[in-house]
Amino acid sequence: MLYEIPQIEHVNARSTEEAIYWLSRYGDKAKVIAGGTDLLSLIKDKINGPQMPIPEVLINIKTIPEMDRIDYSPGKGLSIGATTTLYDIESSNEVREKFGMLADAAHEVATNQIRNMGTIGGNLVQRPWCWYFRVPQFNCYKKGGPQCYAISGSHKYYFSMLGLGVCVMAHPSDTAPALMALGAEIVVAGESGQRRVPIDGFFLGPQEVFETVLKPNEIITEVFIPEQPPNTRGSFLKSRLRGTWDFALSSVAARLQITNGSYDDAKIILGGVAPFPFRVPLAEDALRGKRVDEEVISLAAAVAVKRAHPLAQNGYKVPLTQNLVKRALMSASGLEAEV
Amino acid sequence: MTSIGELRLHMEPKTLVDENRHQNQPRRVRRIVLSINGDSHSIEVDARSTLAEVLRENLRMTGTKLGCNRSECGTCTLIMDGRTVFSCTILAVEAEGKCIETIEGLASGSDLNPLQKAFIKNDALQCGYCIPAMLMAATALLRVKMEPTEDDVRQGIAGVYCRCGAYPNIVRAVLDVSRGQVDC
Amino acid sequence: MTEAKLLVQGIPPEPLDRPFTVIGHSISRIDGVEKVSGTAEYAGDIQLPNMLCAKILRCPHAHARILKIDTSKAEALPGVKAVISRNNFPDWLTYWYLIPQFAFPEIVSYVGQEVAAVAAVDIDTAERALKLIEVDYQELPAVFDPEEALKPTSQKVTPLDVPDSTCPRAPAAWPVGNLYEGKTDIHTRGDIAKGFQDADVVIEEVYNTSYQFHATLQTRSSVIDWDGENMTVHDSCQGVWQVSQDIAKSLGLPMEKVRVVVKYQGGGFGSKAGAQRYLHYASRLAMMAGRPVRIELTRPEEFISHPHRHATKTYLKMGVKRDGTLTAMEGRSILNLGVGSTYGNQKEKLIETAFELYECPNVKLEQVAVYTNTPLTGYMRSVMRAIGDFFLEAHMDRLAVEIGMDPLDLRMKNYAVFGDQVKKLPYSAKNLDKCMKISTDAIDWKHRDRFVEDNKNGPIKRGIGMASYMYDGVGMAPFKASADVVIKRNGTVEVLAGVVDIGGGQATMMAMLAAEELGVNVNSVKTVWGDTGPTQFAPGTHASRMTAEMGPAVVQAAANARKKLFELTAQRLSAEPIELRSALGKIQVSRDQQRSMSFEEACQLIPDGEEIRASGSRKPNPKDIVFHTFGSQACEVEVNTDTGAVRVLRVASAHELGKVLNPKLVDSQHYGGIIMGIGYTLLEDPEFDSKTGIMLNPDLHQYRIPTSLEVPEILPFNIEAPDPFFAYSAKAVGEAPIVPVAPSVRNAIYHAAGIWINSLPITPDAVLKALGKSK
Repeated sequence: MLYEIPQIEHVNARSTEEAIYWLSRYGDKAKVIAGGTDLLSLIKDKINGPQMPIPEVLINIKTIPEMDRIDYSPGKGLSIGATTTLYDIESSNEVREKFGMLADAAHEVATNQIRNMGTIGGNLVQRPWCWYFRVPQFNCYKKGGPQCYAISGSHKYYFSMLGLGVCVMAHPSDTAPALMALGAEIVVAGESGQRRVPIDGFFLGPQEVFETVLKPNEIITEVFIPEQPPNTRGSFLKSRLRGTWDFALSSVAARLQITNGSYDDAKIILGGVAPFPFRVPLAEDALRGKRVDEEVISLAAAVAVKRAHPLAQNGYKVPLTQNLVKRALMSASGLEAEV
Repeated sequence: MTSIGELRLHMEPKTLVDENRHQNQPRRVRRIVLSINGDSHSIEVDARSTLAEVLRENLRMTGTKLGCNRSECGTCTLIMDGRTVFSCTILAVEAEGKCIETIEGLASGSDLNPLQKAFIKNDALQCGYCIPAMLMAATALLRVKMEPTEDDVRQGIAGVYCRCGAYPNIVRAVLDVSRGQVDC
Repeated sequence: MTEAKLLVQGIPPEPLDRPFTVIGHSISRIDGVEKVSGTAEYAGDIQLPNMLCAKILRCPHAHARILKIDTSKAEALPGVKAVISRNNFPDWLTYWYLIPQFAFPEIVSYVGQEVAAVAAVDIDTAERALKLIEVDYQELPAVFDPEEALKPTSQKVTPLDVPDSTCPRAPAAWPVGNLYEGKTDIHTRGDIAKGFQDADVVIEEVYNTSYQFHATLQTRSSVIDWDGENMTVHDSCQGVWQVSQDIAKSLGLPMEKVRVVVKYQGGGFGSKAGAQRYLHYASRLAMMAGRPVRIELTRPEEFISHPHRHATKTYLKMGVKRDGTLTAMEGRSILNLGVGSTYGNQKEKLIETAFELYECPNVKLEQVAVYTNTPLTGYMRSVMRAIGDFFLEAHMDRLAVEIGMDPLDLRMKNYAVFGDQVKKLPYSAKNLDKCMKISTDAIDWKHRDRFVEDNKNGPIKRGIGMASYMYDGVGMAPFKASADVVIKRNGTVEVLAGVVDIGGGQATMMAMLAAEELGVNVNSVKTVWGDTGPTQFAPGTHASRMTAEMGPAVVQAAANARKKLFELTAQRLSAEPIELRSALGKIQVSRDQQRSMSFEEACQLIPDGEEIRASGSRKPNPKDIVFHTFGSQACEVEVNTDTGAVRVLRVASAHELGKVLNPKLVDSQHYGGIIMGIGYTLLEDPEFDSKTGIMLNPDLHQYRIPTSLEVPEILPFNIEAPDPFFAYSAKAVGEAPIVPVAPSVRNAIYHAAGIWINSLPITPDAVLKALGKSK
């Protein structure tokens, strides 16, 4: 088990500009490396395809000082540098107090070690954990190949139940649903400058080869979460096979605004069941303006999975998700769940 | 939905990175200094070498093991800047300037530390292959949680697999140390 | 006094029922310091000067004919020192536990099979060389499903196993229609038709079990040193002598030229019993290159190339009277061998538990072993028992529920007294009834209805279940088991044992046995293990055989050595050797304890420059007695009917093992087996693409093994009972505790949530489906 990484070149970027310079200079030969927990495994397994060359140059962005920070400005919001580790996020008092569901989501990621290494930026741009993608033999759609092998193959765990298109991966990120529920913006830097992408527009659909709008020579520099209104309550729940090192079979991030026992607003995002963090507006509508009440919640939970169109082996995700939505809503509504 | 941000970067490569002076260039081989268990090691490494590989192959510190080489099993766990990490997934060139602690640094000479003694006393090991990683995970845990609960310990070592299933004894050993119950 | 019948020759050991000074004490394992300090040396830690790296080229197809291999470009690459393939070794036979297998057959039969191997100066050169090897394949249709493979029209698999009449464990013939040896193994007794007529209730079910991978944390690694005449293999195996035997035979070397050394190894669980295929290639490369060769499998390679536990499907039908009397049992178990297996030893083993554990007069069980285009299968922690127990004990609970009987009572009602119910052969010892009582009492079985009220509300349902089992692990001894004990002039003792301590504490156990027999402190005994150089032939550390087979050999060697020491001492103490006793480091005259000398002083009487050396070895078990270990587990589980998640909360494990030599080491085996069993039952779900046969989760993330968070409270109980055939009665514990985990958890799930699940692993999708919540 020796040197599974082929010979590569490596450079420590000292600024965002420099990182982008090297990215532009080397084109698709280069990749930025932050935590490396996803990237290096892909390289070791020689996962490649027409749209996925094995990188030959790695640009370390952990050496960019301003990328590793958590800044909270009361009234404005929370700014998290892209290379901030998941552990720093879950253990930040400000995140825990003001944006608790993000702390919970970060805590649910993989293992202690991976949270100590892995970054928020990396968590958002990690590649699919579909096993046809992760073994080198299949030239699958996400590598630039012609087709998805999972639809007619095995798709029990990390797969979509929403039948949305060519690829049936389930987006693996735990933090993405929470960030989406919190209305985050992803700050992206590239050759032509910096842009702020609302997270609702950050992830692409399964017809695309890549999972996000990030262009090859762009990097995430920051994740920004606006200050939440005072009556906001949130909950993140994840269902998994094992207590550690598992992506979601299904996850739910729910953000509710409750005034006088009624829902002013609601945002419900499903993770692990669609190729991108999946917002369920109809379920949100089922809450808006209604009294906080278990029956209302049960109805919303049923609506949340109404569009489900599971594959042959993952029908179980439908009741699983419905139940998870219910529990998340109960918890965020301050109601005692049965569990 | 996507909006171009207000801030423009002025890309002037010539001033940004002067390649001819190659102050900072992508390199295949680098000389680095690693701080391991308090000692400095100046060493030339491939950019592709992981920290685990450099420890094991170059520095011949083979106490750190590899189990999957893919951030999965935790066998290569060590402590870097006070936190547990998978040394199979850290490039050695990126570990420069970090404070690295390995299994070789736990005992002072032939005197085992209390955690090591507690592992032996509680039979918290079978084939022994995961034990360096378990000890490092437990060490890191006990630094931040001096009086852990059983659940804390289980969570603290959860990223390291033990296929022999020594977990109950490992948990007991860590709890023994936290309660000062090691007399060997 | 109870006389031991240790099946050894020479000096009778000390009687069984004397007070023990070493045995029975929780002594810390003797290699603990190395393991906690990182100094324990595993094969992958070894570097030799001039060492080459070896890599293996693997076939991408599930079934293909190799039309042509061109290795010339690889051979021409600077830095490549040896290349092997069927070009230069077309008829080479490798051996795996003496079963011959083709090294480079013309037809490759599974994805990942070895096609060529190279040794080069570094890993990059070796990998580049693999890419330069050109192979022309003609793809053939492949068959993955064993029932499909049994059809006369099925594509014929070309197994790796080669029929060889000179090898006892090799198949006797090429398969016909993919059936192993062209026939099935059938056990029959009584009159099946009449048995079912007599039954009040007849239940038929189908049980499926998945592959299980050992997932040892150390992947297979070796360093092979060849000096032109002698070979030293630094290995990670479980049996140094078995690997020496296999490699010598494969390379055409005398066994004494192949020394195998395993100081430490990172987990075996049966998978590293004999020499594995990768080692043959690496050894051959070392011989060709004339330089040391290092090989370490990557984690994906480890998954696809190592022989794992078989997947099975069992059709089982049993009849029972209302009073609980079993009347008939009929079944067919289909076993997926993959392309090859250590199957020769496993005939009838899958169905044996079913036809032996309970009294049943009318039985017809068939075991059907089938080759398919899937990876190799082989030994793994109670390889067949864990499967056979699953379907039997699952079915027993089903019958109990159908006739409204307590499952524990049903088991007691049909308690089998004889080991062979036709020939009425006795067991050497059997206290399963005690095990059942103790394990069920520990989880308050009598009040198992205590959950009923709570289970009515909410998604969390609790329940308890049990299962009994039998296991071998008691001196099968088809191979020799020998040990030496050496007493040195300085008062130290060495046990020389040609076995590997794979983590069970085998080395510690042998030191304790010698210390007990010699009457010295265990600290003055050193065990030399894991090296064919200084030791005699011994079995591999698998099949739970160390205590049962090597125990008596060590005891006898120590007794023989003690006799020689007493002969030197007797005159000094003015006594006959037979009057002497040794305990706590002191040698005394038994009728006059004032006359004594310390063990060290006695050792001084050994002539200068000499030492006392004595041997022991154990004969095979007699045929007229049946040898098994027994046990029972009861567990408490929690089923979340919303999420389908199952948690095992508590397991009480009672195992009959004769005598506990070292309580804490024995308890560790309960933990290890149960935790691995929880993986088998709930988590470990290997997946293969159904069209290509490619493994989809050859990794330790999606092949989920239990972590510290899946571990229940485990209550180990060790049932001691005399068994004179073994050292101080001590028998096996290494494998048995995994056996009843799956059925007892499965039975507890029924008790909790009212659902029968008949396929392993029991994942949330299966639970939600059984609950009718999803399709």
